[in-house]
Amino acid sequence: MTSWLERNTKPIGLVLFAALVVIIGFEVIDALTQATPVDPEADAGEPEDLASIAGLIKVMLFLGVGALLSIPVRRRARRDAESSAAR
Amino acid sequence: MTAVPTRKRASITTRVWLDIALFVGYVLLSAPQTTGIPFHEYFTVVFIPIFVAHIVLDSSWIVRVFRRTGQARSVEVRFNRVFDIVLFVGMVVVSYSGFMVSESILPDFGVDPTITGFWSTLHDAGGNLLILGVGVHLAMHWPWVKRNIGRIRPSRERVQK
Repeated sequence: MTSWLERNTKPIGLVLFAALVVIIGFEVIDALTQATPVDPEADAGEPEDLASIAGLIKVMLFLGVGALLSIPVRRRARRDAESSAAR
Repeated sequence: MTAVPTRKRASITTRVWLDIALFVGYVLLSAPQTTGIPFHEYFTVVFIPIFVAHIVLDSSWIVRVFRRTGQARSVEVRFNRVFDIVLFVGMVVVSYSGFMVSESILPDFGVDPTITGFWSTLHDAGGNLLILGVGVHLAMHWPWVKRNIGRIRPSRERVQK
């Protein structure tokens, strides 16, 4: 019995290869931009408990906005499907 | 007659559970203010294999939509295949840039990366854009979710046994 990993070596390899290509591309962009070091502590300042609730609300809100953004595409897709069915 | 549907159902059930794990994991990862930076960084290591498995389990769909058939594809398929590539690139970039601005996991292993504005901006802005993108992705694939979410409920036969 072969394991799931063995059976899916090719697609896993392809996904990792594609990810590597993306990473190399962005490493090249980073090398070209010659960005300067920043202080990660500088932007901290929001109260802890407030930020912890706001973090989750933001994610759900953004997901909702993303879903709303897809409405025109889904509408167009439906119209496209209806017109090809009528043909 | 029952062998094929049972196998198919098991596979879809696995995909549904994996997608639920992926969604819950993604929400938790996208809120470092809520979960804290150490969880945010360590959980990414757990999240990446789930993300890869999500793509691998749906690889037959990917192959199908990218195969040249000589026929015009629907608007939905054309949109999804371009958007899913963008989303994949976004996910890779946001995950990788996260390691490049690591404040917890890499220092814990003795590596102290120099955090630059490039990776920091990319991680923050890319992360926010990615949440919108995941919202679009979920909405575009919602019919599949709606069709298959019922499969993870215990079937009546199994409950009676």
